[in-house]
Order: sequence, then structure tokens, then C-alpha cells
Amino acid sequence: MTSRIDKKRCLKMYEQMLTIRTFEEKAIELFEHNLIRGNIHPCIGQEAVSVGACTPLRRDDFMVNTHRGHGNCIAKGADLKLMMAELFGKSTGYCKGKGGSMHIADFKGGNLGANGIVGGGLPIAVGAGIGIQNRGTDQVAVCFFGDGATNQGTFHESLNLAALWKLPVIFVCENNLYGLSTPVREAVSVVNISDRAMAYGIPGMSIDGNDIIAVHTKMMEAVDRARAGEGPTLLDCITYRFFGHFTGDPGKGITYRSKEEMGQWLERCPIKRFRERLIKEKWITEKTEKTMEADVKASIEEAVQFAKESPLPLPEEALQDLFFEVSPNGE
Amino acid sequence: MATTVIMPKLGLTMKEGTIEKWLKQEGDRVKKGEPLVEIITEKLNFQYESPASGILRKILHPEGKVVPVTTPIAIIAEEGEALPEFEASAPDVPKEAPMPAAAVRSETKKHRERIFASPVARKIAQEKGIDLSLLKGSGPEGRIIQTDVLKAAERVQAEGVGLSVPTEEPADKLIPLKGIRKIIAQRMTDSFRDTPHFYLSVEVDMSAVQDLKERVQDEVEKRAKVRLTLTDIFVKVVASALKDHPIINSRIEGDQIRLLEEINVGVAIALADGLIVPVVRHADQKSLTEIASAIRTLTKKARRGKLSLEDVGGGTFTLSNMGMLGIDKINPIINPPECSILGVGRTVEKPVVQKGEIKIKPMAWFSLSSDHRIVDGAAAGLFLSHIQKIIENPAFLLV
Repeated sequence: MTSRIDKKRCLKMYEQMLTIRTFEEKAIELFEHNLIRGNIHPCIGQEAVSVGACTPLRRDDFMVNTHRGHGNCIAKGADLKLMMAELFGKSTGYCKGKGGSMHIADFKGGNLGANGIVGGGLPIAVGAGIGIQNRGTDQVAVCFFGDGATNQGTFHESLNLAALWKLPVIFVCENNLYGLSTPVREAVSVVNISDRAMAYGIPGMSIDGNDIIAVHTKMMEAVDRARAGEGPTLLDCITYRFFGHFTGDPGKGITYRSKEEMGQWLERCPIKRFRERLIKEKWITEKTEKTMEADVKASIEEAVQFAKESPLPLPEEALQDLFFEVSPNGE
Repeated sequence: MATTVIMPKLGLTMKEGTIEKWLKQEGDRVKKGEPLVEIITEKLNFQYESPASGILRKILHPEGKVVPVTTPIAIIAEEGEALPEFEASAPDVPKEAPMPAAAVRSETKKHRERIFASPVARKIAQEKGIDLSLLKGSGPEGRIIQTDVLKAAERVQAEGVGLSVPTEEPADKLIPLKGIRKIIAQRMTDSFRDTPHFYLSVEVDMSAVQDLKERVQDEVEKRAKVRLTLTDIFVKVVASALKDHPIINSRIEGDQIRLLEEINVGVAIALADGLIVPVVRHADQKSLTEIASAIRTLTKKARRGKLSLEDVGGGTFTLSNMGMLGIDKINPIINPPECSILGVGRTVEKPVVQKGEIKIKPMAWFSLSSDHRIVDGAAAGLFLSHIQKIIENPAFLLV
């Protein structure tokens, strides 16, 4: 399977996964040191979904994110410095320090922002899809959401409308098996979340979200379908967050998840699995990997330095930038 | 590179944390991600993982210490690496390990200054019972040396007076007010200060209810595999009475009284290190079997420290049964924001006069504490006598 994606792209994907993990480990550390004031919802463990789903996208494609969205931002090509500055609440951040961890938006990079409301992003992605259709371009819109969001009315309304109008939207469920502390098996009526695609007459698949090649392959098919005007796809990527719902969730979620279960998923670490494949292909060696890790670390340290040195926004700027002017071609 | 471990901020509102337990000791090797220290905040109990691999070279704050977030608490480094300097704090509880007498005394002094003395000076001081903190050193940079101690010993002998002026403070054990203890202290103080309590008591004939327990306990055990207790029956009785006395099932909110729709009865459970009140939700809608099994589940969870916020929140009335401890009568403090609490004592056989005859009956004291802002004596009295009526004739539960 790996052979279908060339070496250069695979290494880039691996580097992005490492970047996401290192970025978040740093963010957690900074929160614990009281340097980042807003809550952090880490996506560590879910890197394969972010990178697998965003790699087939172009810069001008749209992405709608969730509150657990650092990984998706990075995979969509965000600048680490501007992200880190946003986490610090500094005026050099993506939203000039007024959004924080949960609301990073970068319209130039196609990132339409994240939503603190579960399921709140779905209709926005559909809106982006309508925009694309009206303009007649071959862009696509990708919507990330969690398993909890699939029980919201917005999920069903959005899938229905996107299916009815054959909008170029790909619905990617980051199914980490828990809506905060509620297990998906106690909350969702169907066995697989992808079964819900049937209700709207669109293709739906449940896949191993910790296998980056599987995510990438299915995402390529979905993007091709959307670009060709054949309408939306629902991808249910089954994965697991290694941390709790937020930093400070006791024992990384031990109050509602068993030690055995967490241990089993650690074994299925998406980065570890991808690394094993790359070693087998002889595409990375211990040495090149160490160099890559050091580069990633350095770029994140650089981002932290940038954020620390940046100024805070001024009180009189609080009401500025509430609206963003978008020209008809989406620029 | 040496890594400084700090008191982590674990939630948006966390300002300080208690070091509950060091899971590694100084000198131990730790791996990044291995549990290092147990931290207690107002909200949770957290095992904090080591942020780095290396040797735990220094613990800066002992167990039981409360420190603000981001305070350095330990240093992890490799063997021989230079350590950054931080202010360490001495243990609140003096360690029991034997220390030289002189050092013990200096430890308990108000100003815990480090005393510079040569090892031999320390040894002699210990043998002769000289308090080093009272000596002026004549060695380099004021260091106490052998001759200083020997001179002091001569003076003591010559003048016949003790040099060790401060008598040793008694070795009282100090228990830090933290975790559940701190919460109990805060809530009970608030309640007792802000709520005008008044107390009513009645002695109740327990024959009928004991008889009821005898008759149904096997059936309950068959259904739910739990042994029925008097507490379970009291919860049922209280819930039933609360339905007829909504004013007791209420709370104060600003300048209003809210009569609560739900009847959720809390049951006080003693733990080794405190007291917790898990709640039987909708107790009025539950059968005796359901109540018994709910209480047993909650008790088990409480003993294992596994109660969730949901298990302890939302109570509308509390029951405190001290019968099993052999107590006759208890006037408990109201558990805020509730407006009343029932205390039940032990059942004991007593002579009772009925229709001019003395009979021996099992009797127990039932005491109600109520908030006089909400409830007056008459309303509380009616409620308590209603409970008495049901206990003495449980058939009323069916009415």
C-alpha cells in the first residue's frame, strides 16, 4: 500500500505526525507552567487522522476544525509560530491572540476555524461547500468532528443537505470512542458511525484511524469523488486519544477508561506503526529519524521563543477583527 | 540538562496543590512518563508523571506541603550534574528517624537556620547534650569547631547551668488540613456560622420496624444480593415523609426558598480520613431493594475513593445514623445547601410506660436539625412526628 505514496510524501507525513505530537507535548508543559491560560485539549494519539486526511488536500481547500484541533491545523499547513503565539494569547497569533487554543483560524490557508460547540462546525463546512459549488471551482471542504457530534442535529442536517445538493464536502469523524467521558457504545445507536451514511445515500466507511495509509487512501477516494462533483463521503476514523479530555483530566482519563484499554491503544500508536513501515521500506534509518526529531523540536522551540517575545494585544483592540471580508473567489 | 519539576497547573482555576505522596525518593532513577508524585487539588487527585528521565536528585517540598502552581518541587538530573538552586521547605511533620539531639532541637527552633559545624564538634555536642544553635563558632567563617563545644561543656560543668536554654518543644504530630479534611472544615464552618440551627428530638418505638426488617430481609437479599439494614429503611421512611412535607425538602437561594421537586437523600458514611455523603437519587421512587443496593454500591465506591461528583452532588436531605457506634443521640450539623438533617441513635431496650403498664421496648432517639430561616418549630415537629408515625407503623409507607 505504501508504494502508492512516494517516499518524499511519506517522510513529510511522518514529520508532520512528529510535529503534532511534539507541539502538543510542549503545549501541555506550557499550560502546566501557567504560561498558556486557556484549556488545552490534546489530540496526541490521533495524529494519523489529521495527517492522513489533510495530506490529499490543496492549500485552497477548506477545513473546519474542532476544539481538539492542533493536529488538523498543523496538517493543513499552519505556521507553528503563529499557532504558538495564539495559544499564548499574543497579538502575533493567528487570531491576534483573541482566539486561543480552541479557535485557530487561517482563512488564507483554508482553515475556517474551530468550534467550541460540539457539532458546531458541520453546517459551516456545508456552507463552504455551497460556496464552492456556486463559484464552480474544484475545491473541497473537509469537516472534522468527534463521535459525540454525530448525535447532534447539525450532523444529520448537514449530511442530508450535502448529500441532497451533492456538495464537495468530506465528513471526517475523529472517532476516539469517547464523547468526553461517555463511551460511544453507550451513546450511538448503530454499530459503526459510518452506517449513518446509508440514511443519506452517500458512501460511508469505518476505518482504522491509527493506520495513516488507510486514512490517506480512503481520503484520496473521497476527495476525488468530491472534486468530480459526485458529492460527500462520511469517513469514520476509529482512533484514541492518549491523554484525557483536557490537560488535568485525572490519570489521562482513567476515571472512565481502563488501564488495559489505554495500554492496548498505546500499542497501536499511529506514529510507532508508521515508523515500523518506513523502516521496513528502508525509507528512514535511526539516524535520519533522530535528525528529523531534532529538527521538529528546534522548530517548536523557535515557535515558543517567538510566542514568548511577542507582545500581548491591547485592550482597545478587543472589538477589532470581529468580521472578515472574503472576496468572491475565496481569497 | 537538569529538569526542574514544578507544581503543575492542572485546571483553569487551580492556584495551588498539595503534595500528597512522592512516588519516588531522592536518588531514585525515573523515566519520563513514569508516575512521580501524587498531587491533590480542590477538585481532584492526580498522579503527575515525570517530565524527564534521570535521577530524582532533589525533592524541594515534602509530602503534605501546599504550594502555588509553577513552584519548583523537585529536580531531575544525571549523576554529578550541577543543580539549580531553589528554596526548599522543611517538612511540616518532623521525621521520626532518630537525629542527633542538637540537630533535633535546632530543627524545632522557629528560625531554621543551617548550623555550620565540624563533624567532630557535632559528635561531641551530641554526647554532651550541647545545643549547637546557641554557640558562636570560632572557626573559618564562624564555623563551630571542637574547641567551641569543649569550652561550652566546661562552662556548663563549672556554672552548673544548662546551656540548652530552650526546652524541647513537645513532639506533637501535625496533620495538614488538606483534601477532604479541608473541604469538611470549610463546609461545616460555613454551615454552622451562617445557618441558625435548632434541634428537635423524639424517642421512637422500633419494634415494628425491626419486625419489618426481619420479614423482608431475605426477600431483599434474594433480589439484590444485599443484606438489608436499618439505614436503608430509614432512607425509605425519610423519602416518604419528605413527600408530604415539601418545606423540609428545600433550600435558600438569595431571598427565595426553593421547594425542590426531586427527593435525593444523602447518607453520611465514615471514612478512615473523613466523612462523605453519597446520595440516593429519587429515593421516594425507589423500592427498599433498590435503596439497599444503591447504598451498598455507593458505600463500596466511597471506601475505594471512587465516588464521582454525581454520586455526592444533588442531595436534598441528609441522614446520619450513628446507631452502629452505640451512640444514643446525635444532633448533626446541616449539610449545606440542604435545610435539615436527621440524626439517628442506637436502638436499645428500655422500660416504657403504656396504659399504666411497664413494658420493655426497643427504643431509639431520632433528632432533627433544621435551618430556622426556612423551617419553624411546628413544621419541623410535624415532619419528625410523621417519621415517628411511619417507623412505629410502617404500613403508612403504603398509604
